[in-house]
Amino acid sequence: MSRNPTGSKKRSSAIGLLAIFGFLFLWHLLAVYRILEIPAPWRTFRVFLTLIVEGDPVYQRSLIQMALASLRTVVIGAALGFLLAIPLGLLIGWSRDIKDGLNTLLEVMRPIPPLAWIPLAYIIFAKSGNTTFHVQVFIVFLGAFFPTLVNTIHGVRSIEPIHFEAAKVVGARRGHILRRVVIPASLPSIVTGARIGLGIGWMCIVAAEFVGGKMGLGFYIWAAYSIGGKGEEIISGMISIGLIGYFMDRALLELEKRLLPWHFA
Amino acid sequence: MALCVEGISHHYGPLPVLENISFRIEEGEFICIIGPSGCGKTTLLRIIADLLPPSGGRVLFNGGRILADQGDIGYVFQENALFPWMTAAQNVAFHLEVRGVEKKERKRIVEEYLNLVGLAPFPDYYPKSLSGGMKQRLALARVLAYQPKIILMDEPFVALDAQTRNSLQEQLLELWAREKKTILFITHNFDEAAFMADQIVILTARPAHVREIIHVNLLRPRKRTSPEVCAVRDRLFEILAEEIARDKNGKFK
Repeated sequence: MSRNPTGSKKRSSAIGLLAIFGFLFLWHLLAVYRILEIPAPWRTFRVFLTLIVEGDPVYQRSLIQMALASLRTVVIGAALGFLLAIPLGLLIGWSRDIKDGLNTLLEVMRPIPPLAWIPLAYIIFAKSGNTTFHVQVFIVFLGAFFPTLVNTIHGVRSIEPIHFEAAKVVGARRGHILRRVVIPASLPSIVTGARIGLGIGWMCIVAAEFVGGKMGLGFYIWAAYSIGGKGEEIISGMISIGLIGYFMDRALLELEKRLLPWHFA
Repeated sequence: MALCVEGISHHYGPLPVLENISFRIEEGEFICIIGPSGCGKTTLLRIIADLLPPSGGRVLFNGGRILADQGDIGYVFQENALFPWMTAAQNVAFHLEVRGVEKKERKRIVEEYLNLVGLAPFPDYYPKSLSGGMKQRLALARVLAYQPKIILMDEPFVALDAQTRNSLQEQLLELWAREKKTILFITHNFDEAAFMADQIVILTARPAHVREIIHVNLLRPRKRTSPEVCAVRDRLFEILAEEIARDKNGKFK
């Protein structure tokens, strides 16, 4: 810990800037001296900006449209994941019987990467009318579901017994304890789970878009590669993925601070 | 109205903790239970509060069972049991909410009791931004506000510095006199017991049984340093020193 928080903050943002410029410089060297077959940073950024403003002539879509398509899938899939994982996690966390009963099943399902579900998902949703979209939502759902579930269970499990007793001793009933003790006490952990879940969901969508569909950043990157290894376009897509992931996480972090003032104050 | 503890025994697995404990509290009395550390005082209090079923014996409250859902019990825990996710005002309101007190009335009572413990300026503070003494005052307000029939306190001032502790003891006595509550107060501090109690139940080292019950018929307000209070204190000190020595000789802790 630094004794001077302002000084420390200045130092860390200086290091941050230095790191970015160092990274760009290294990239520049690798590209210019053809150590790696990659486009140079400035050319990539020019393409990146063009793709945002004018779009890609091959697909007649801008990078923003591609990103929005991915985001839409992620938001739907992750929301479904949260909607199922949070109540289930509260239930499992609260009841030892349910936890013991479901533990093995969940622990075997959990290590299966969401991406390993893609082939099966295509079979499951083959006749659904909008197969690719449903598969992608399902994959994101899986990616978001498990971290949220695990963190919710953990959140409920780590509630201080004394808080339950403080509620019980005044005669609080289960519904009251759930609403006023269990949910608020485990909310920090739930939000952490949701942040991790959304991050994983975002990674999943890119991969799921490689496999099928005609929209989204994952599709775009893979398409740019398939039609001739267009490095600038590929990297532009990657940068978009990184930036959007970063801003989504920041947004959730802000929400967390608003939602849980007692946890941060 | 009285609380009768009748032949309470308890063991954790093979380990006997409480043995045949009996005493009686009249309405409006201030009782201290004192005993060496680790003798099972908290266990006894948890049994009285119906948080733990005893292995044997029973607790009678006005001839019946003590009922949490009737608002019989106020419990001040040793550790900080305030809800960190609620503000000071919300913490006090929670108990009233459970009791089904209407919102407007709740607000009035919360203000009254925050004011009573000197926390009126801090209704929107979260517990983590309150000092140790303020937290225990808030815990006190939380319990007093819903008017339980009996207040059980488990070494509530143990984590505080001596100055804060003394001041809170005095405030508690004032509140007790004002609200005419029955209070059962656990401590291992003989100064605290001698200064505060009408009746002191002294427990032995584990397995605890009642070693002696001292009635302290001294006028209030008492002075900590008065010869009478000091005499009680010295008596407690002697007995406890014996018990602690016995505990050390008898077994590992």
